Amino acid sequence: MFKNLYRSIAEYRELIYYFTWREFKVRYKQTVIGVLWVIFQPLCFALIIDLTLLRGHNFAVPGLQVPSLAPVYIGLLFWNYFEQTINNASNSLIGNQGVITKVYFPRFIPALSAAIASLIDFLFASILLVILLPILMDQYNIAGLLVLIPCVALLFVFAFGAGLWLATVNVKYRDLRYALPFVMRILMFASPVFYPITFLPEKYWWILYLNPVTTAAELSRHFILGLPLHKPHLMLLSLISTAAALLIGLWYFYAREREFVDIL
Amino acid sequence: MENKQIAVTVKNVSKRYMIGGTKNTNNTLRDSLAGVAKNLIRRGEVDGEDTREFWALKNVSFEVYKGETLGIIGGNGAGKSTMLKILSRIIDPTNGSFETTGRVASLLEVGTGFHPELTGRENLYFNGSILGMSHKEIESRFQEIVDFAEIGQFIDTPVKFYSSGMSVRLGFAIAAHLDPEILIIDEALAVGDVAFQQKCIEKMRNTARSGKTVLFVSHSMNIIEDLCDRVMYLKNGQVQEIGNPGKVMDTYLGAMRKKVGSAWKKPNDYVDKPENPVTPLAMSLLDENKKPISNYVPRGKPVIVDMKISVKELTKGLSVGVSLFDGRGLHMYRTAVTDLPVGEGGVALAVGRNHIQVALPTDDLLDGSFVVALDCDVYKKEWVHNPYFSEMRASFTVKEVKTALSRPWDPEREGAYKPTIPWNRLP
Repeated sequence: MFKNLYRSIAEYRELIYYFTWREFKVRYKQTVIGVLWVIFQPLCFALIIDLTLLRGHNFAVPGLQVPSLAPVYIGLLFWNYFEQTINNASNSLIGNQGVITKVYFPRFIPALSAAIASLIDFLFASILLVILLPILMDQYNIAGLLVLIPCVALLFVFAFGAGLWLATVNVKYRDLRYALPFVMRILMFASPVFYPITFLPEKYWWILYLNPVTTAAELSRHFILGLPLHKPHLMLLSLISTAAALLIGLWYFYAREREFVDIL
Repeated sequence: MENKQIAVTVKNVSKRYMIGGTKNTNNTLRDSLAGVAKNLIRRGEVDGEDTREFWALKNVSFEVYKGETLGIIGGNGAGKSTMLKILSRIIDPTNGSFETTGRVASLLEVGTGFHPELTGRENLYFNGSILGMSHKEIESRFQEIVDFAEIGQFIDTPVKFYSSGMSVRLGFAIAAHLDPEILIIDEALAVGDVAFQQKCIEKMRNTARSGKTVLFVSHSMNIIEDLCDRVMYLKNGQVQEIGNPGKVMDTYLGAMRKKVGSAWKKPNDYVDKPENPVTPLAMSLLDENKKPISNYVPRGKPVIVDMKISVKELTKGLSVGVSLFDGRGLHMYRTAVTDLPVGEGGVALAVGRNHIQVALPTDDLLDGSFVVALDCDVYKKEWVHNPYFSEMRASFTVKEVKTALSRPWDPEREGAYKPTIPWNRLP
C-alpha cells in the first residue's frame, strides 16, 4: 500500500504540483483581497471569541500574563487548516468528476493536493502570528515557532487520511455533504481551540487528545507562549489516531479505487 | 503480419454494469438503509427486480500492431466508449485483461479539466500535465500549441470569456501535441468549425503516419476510411468483425440498412447512455390519413413522421430532428424542431414524454426507397443521437402515380431530386 503510494507520488509529482497550483489559484481568483482572507478570517474569529466567550476564562496561569487572543489564534490556525483540508479532500473525488471520468491518474492526487494547497494558507496565517506575537506578548519564544512544523505535519497526515476516506465514502453516499459540516462543528467545540484544555474535567482529556488538533494547539501554546503542558503523555493518543486515520483512509481508498468511476 | 510488434493486446475483456443498482439508487445512506431493510424482510430472495445486469462488453479480444491505426465503429451502446475507457485505465474490466506497451495518452474529451476562471495559459499547463505531458514538454511546445489553436493574444484571458470554438481549439491543440506511443481518441473531431476540423484531421493523419499506434472511435465513415489501417465493428459489446476498413464498413452499413423497417420502436434491451438528455421511444411513418404507410407513398403525398421521445433534461441548444437519406445512403437533408420559431413551425420540447410529428414532402423525390433517421444534437457539441449511426430508422418507398402530367422518363430521372422548375425562353 505504502509502496504503491510512494511510487505514484514519485511518478506523478508534476501532476501533484499542478493540481495544488490550480487549487490554490482557483481559490483566490476574482477575490479583491485574495490571500488576505486567510489572515482576516481567523483573526476576526479569534477577536470575537476573545471579546465574548473568554472574558471569564482566559488562558492566564499564575505568574504568566497571556492575553487570550494569542492562544486562541494559535488554536484557530490549526483548526482552520484541519477543517479546510478535510472539507476539500472529502470533496476531491466528486469535485473532479469531470477529469476522473476522462483521464487516468492516481485518484488520491486531488486529496493530497488539497492538503498541500491548504499548507500555503497555513503559512500565510502563521506569518500573521509572527507579527501578532510582539504586539500581544511581553515575552515569548521565537524559536518555539519551529514547533508549528511538526504540528502541522501531524494534522496533514491525519487530514489526508481522513479526507481520503471521506472522499471515497462521498462517491457513494452523498449524505456526507450534509453530515460533514455538522460533524466538523461539533468537533470544533470538542477541541481546545478557543478554550484551554483545563476548561474541561481532567477525566475527558484523553478524548480531546484523540484529535491531533489538541496536541498541535497544546504543544504550540507551550513552546511559543510558555503555557504549561497538561498530561503530555496523552499526546501519544494523537499519534495513534493519526496513524489509524492514514491507514484506514488509504486501505479503504485502495479497496474502492477501481469502482469509483462506475459510480461517479 | 507475423513479425509486426504488438502494441495493444486485449484478452477476453468483459465489462458489467449494474443498472439501477450502483448508478441511480444507493446514492444516499437512506437508500442503502432501505435496501438493507428490504433484504432483511425478503431474506433469501434474489434481488432481481431493481438491479439489472448490463454487459457493455462481452469477451472482447483483439490486438493492435505497433504503428497501426485501428478504427472502432458500432451503433449506440455497442461498447466503443467502454472499450476506450478500459484501455485508458479509467475503468477496470469486470473480467479479462489487457496489455499496452508504451506510453498511453487518451483523448476522450477535448479540454478535460478546463477551469473557467483560469486563463488559457494556466489551463494549457494543467491540461497538458493531466494528459501526461511533462513540464519541460509543455514549455517547449507552448508556442506551437498556441499557434495551432489560433488563440493568439487571448492566451492570458480566462477561459470563461472564450467562445466555445476557442476552448475546443485550445483543447485539441494541447491533445494534438501529446507525444505518446499509443493514442486513444474518441470522437474528438466532432466539434469545431469546418476549417479547424480539416486542420485536426491533417494533424491526426500525420500522427498516424509518424509510426504511432492510434485507436480511434468515430461516427464519420469518411474519417475512418481515410485514417484507419484496420477497422473493428462492435455490436452489443462483442466483436462482430475486424479487418480491412472497406469490408468491415460494408458489413456494418449493410447491417444498419437491414434493420430498417417501416417503423421503429425502442427495443426492451436498448439502453441509452445515462447522460443523454433525450431517449427516443418510437418512430413510425404515416400517410396523410394518419394511417401507417403500408405499401408506398404516391409522389406528392406527404410522409408524416410520428415520433415519441422522452426528454430527461432541456439542455441548452438541444435539438431533435430527422434526416432523410436516399437508397444509396446520400444524406439529402435534415430538419429539426428548432428550425423555425416556436408556434410558426418550430416545437418547444418539454421534459417528459413528447409526441411530435413532421410531414416530409415527397413532391421532389425520385422513385425509390428512402430512409428517415431520428437524430438529436446539442448545438456545437457532439451528437446525442447521430443520424448516420442512429438505430431509429424507418424507410418508405415513393412511387409515381400516373397523371396527365407524367412523362415516361420521370421514374428514371438522374440526380438525387426531381424538382419541377419552370423554364423561360427569352426572345
